[in-house]
Amino acid sequence: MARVATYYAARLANYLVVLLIAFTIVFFFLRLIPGDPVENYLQSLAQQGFRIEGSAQIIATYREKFGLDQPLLVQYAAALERTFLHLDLGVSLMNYPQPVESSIMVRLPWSIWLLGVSTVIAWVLGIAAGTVTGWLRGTAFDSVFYNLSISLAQVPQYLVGLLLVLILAYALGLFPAGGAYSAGVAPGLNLEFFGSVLYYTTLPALSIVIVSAFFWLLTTRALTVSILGEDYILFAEAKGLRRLRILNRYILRNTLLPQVTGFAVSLAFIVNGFFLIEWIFRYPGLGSLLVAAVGQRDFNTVQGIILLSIFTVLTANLIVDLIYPLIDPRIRTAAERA
Amino acid sequence: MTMMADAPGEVAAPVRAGPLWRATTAIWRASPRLKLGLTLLLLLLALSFLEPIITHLRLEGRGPTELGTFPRLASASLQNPLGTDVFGRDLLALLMIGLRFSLMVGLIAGGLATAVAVFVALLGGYSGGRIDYLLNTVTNAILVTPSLPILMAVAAFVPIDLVLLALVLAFFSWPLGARIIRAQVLSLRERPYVEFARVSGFGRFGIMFGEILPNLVPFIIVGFSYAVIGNILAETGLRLIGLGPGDVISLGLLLNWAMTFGALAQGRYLMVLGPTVCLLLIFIALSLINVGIEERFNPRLKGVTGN
Amino acid sequence: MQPTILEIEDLHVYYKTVAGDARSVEGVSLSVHANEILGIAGESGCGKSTLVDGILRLIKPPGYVPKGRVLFKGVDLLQLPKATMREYRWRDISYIPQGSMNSLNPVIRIEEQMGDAVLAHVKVGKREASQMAISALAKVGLPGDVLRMFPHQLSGGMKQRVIIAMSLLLNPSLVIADEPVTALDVVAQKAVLQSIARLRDDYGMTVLFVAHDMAAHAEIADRVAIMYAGEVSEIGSVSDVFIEPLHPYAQGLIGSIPSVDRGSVKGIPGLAPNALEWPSGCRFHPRCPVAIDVCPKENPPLIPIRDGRYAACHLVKADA
Repeated sequence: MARVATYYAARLANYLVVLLIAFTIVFFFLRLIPGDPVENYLQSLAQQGFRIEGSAQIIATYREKFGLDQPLLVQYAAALERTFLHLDLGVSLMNYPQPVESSIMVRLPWSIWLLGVSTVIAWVLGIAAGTVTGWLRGTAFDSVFYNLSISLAQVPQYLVGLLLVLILAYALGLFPAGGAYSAGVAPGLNLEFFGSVLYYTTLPALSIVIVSAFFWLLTTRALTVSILGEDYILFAEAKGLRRLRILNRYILRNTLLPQVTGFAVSLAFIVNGFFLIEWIFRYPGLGSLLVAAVGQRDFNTVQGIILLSIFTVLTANLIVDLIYPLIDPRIRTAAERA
Repeated sequence: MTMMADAPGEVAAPVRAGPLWRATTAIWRASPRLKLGLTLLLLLLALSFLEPIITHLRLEGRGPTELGTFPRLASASLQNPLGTDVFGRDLLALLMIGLRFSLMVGLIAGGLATAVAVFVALLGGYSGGRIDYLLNTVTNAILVTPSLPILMAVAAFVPIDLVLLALVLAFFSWPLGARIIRAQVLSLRERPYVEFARVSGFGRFGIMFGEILPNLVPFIIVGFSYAVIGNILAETGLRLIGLGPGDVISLGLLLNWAMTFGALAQGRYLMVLGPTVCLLLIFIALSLINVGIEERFNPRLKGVTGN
Repeated sequence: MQPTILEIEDLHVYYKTVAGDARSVEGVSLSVHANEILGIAGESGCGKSTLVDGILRLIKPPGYVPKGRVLFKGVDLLQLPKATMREYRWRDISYIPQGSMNSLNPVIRIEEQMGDAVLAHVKVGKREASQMAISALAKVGLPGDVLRMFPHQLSGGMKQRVIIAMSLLLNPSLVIADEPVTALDVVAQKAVLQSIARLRDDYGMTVLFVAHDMAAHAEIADRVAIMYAGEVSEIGSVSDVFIEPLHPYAQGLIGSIPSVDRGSVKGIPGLAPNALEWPSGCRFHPRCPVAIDVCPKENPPLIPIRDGRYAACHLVKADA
């Protein structure tokens, strides 16, 4: 039992180390920025036509308030402390004095909804299609889907989004071009609202699903094909088992396990493209907030969203790492032995 | 299944320490998808580099980026097959210029990224121990960091010139290739011929570059291809929302112009379709290259291609 | 003479390749009698494993069976509809595969893998299936604890015996074992060979036993058929073939077994030929120490020499 604890402790330690490294990368990248956030923000305001008086005074005050006049390492230590110990993401510049958290919290549910729905649907569809095409390798059905996947799996989601918006929203007028729900519907726990939300979620979700599902199809198919060549599949056939049983207990169980770890890893890539999809479809989630904050040079909000995404991806990875031994008997024994 | 392993027509045992050239040509011959993808990519590249000549011929010497060369917002015609933009510039010419820049950024940053990836993967995978742990952890750390938001943040605040852009893109695109190559290095390290070289007295770097590297060529290509995909994806994404050097035309910038102009709402679909289709072709070509190589060389998939 | 359980008639198995068809098995005819162990011997690449896959209809593309019949108790297995063949599997004919190490599903327990072989063919409850599994395991000397384990928790020899136990579950008439001891150490080999011999002695089964190691045949086989280059070159009882091998190839094989008595070991010169291009005439002629003029021209058919003895060689004539 102590050995299992060591395994888990090692994974946890690894998680914290990677989190720290990622945080450091973000911190120093953002510090590449010349000038300081306040100055930049005021500049962008000025560009938008606001008049700013006594800007030097403002800059000096806020610089001190945000601790921007300290040497870099001190700032780093302070940021570490603030972010991890106090879970404080700072104050939004463009919505001052609203803290970054509240801007994020308002938009988070929408992002979770879109991301969640798309990711799950893509995963299920992709794995199912991948298994079937792997099973039916060489047939026309397989050829069609395989070639389709090759074309679409490694294409940016926003490109697909643009095409969908062009064809389905503007050219054919079948779907709305943006927003989270129809303007005429009042948000609430009613069917009309849910229906509207679903309708408006369709195109953005579809953009993500198309690319992700075909990607999962490719990996699952490759895995299925390689497993089909394994001795234990041949033996299962020699035993005279029904095809369905072989598919379920012999093939699926062996293809799903490696995919679970892949899912967490690919989350980073999904999150990447996700922000732009929100922007294209004017979806009121974190993606649009990020683009707006970038445009407004709202340093803290940008940093906050980035940190949140890193944290989410890493934690998802950790959760997968922790439950994987529970589902794969081979790793369970290794963990017990490790 | 075991009987199939030696069937003729298969890719046979690993390439012995021979010139990298032999390894590369063997790869070319091995996969039709790879050939298709590579051909497509080279065609696009050639087209984009021939652009100055083509444009010169088409526009009779009038600069493609000069404002007001043609009537503004003209629809597709023989003279302007894709129409013109709001400043009266021929869109087809702009498209080809953008294509060139998008490809170059992707390829150059991709080359940088791959060089780093090979070095890190080879050193870490072969050395093992603490070095490997350190390098691998760094690789994973960058891999799980969503690069686009950070790139957006950097591009927003820093006046991005091309060199910085390439460096930053490369920074985020090397880990994926490194991971793929490292996995291969780990497996190759245990092969008998490597052990043989070791006991014959070859030094660490001699083995790394002499014995292991030639067998990594397919995976280096895959890593390069992924890096290019990542770079073009990132660069286009940045441009799409209006970041980056505004005077350098890339496909993403063309899309940004179309979007800010409201091309879709006004029914000027070609303005969006042009760059989008170009980009799609690039990604499809790269994807074909990836799949083509993995079909033939992924050890898990050896000998079990789809068709 | 015992009744014939399995009659293989002129079986051919080819593989399509870019360079033409590889004719891995060409015109093999054999009879397997009830309650015997028939060994099939030969070098790597001679087609013995392909033969087995052909019998069991486990040949996958690009392999195919252009010609031949496999009569199991009078029924041609190759002509059966897939569903019927599935019924015959395991219940009547079971299989101990070549890569037994990897023939167990790594992610499900032994109990389930043994159980599903039963449940696929017999209408019993899961508990009864597990009981059957336990008694089968006992027959190979493994405890019931094994049921709850996963394959990776077992040693190579144990895995092999689990597979053998599985093959007994439904009391099939015929067990086909393909190189069951090749990957094992000598101690495990002995145990496994004994288990297989018991199938014949204690449980009245018939075994078709494929191995390239002549010593294994010497230990447990009743009769042995020697294959070379996709064809059968000699058949006879084990003692007959070992004491007086008729075919030059068989002579080479027997002569190459290390023995305490003999001082030296003789090998067979040359390399095994390639299935894409078998040598002309008698396929063994390039390596044969006693080849004569007619050998490269005509491929000698397998003919009965005397009672139960067959050989395919121009130099071996039938007894009058």
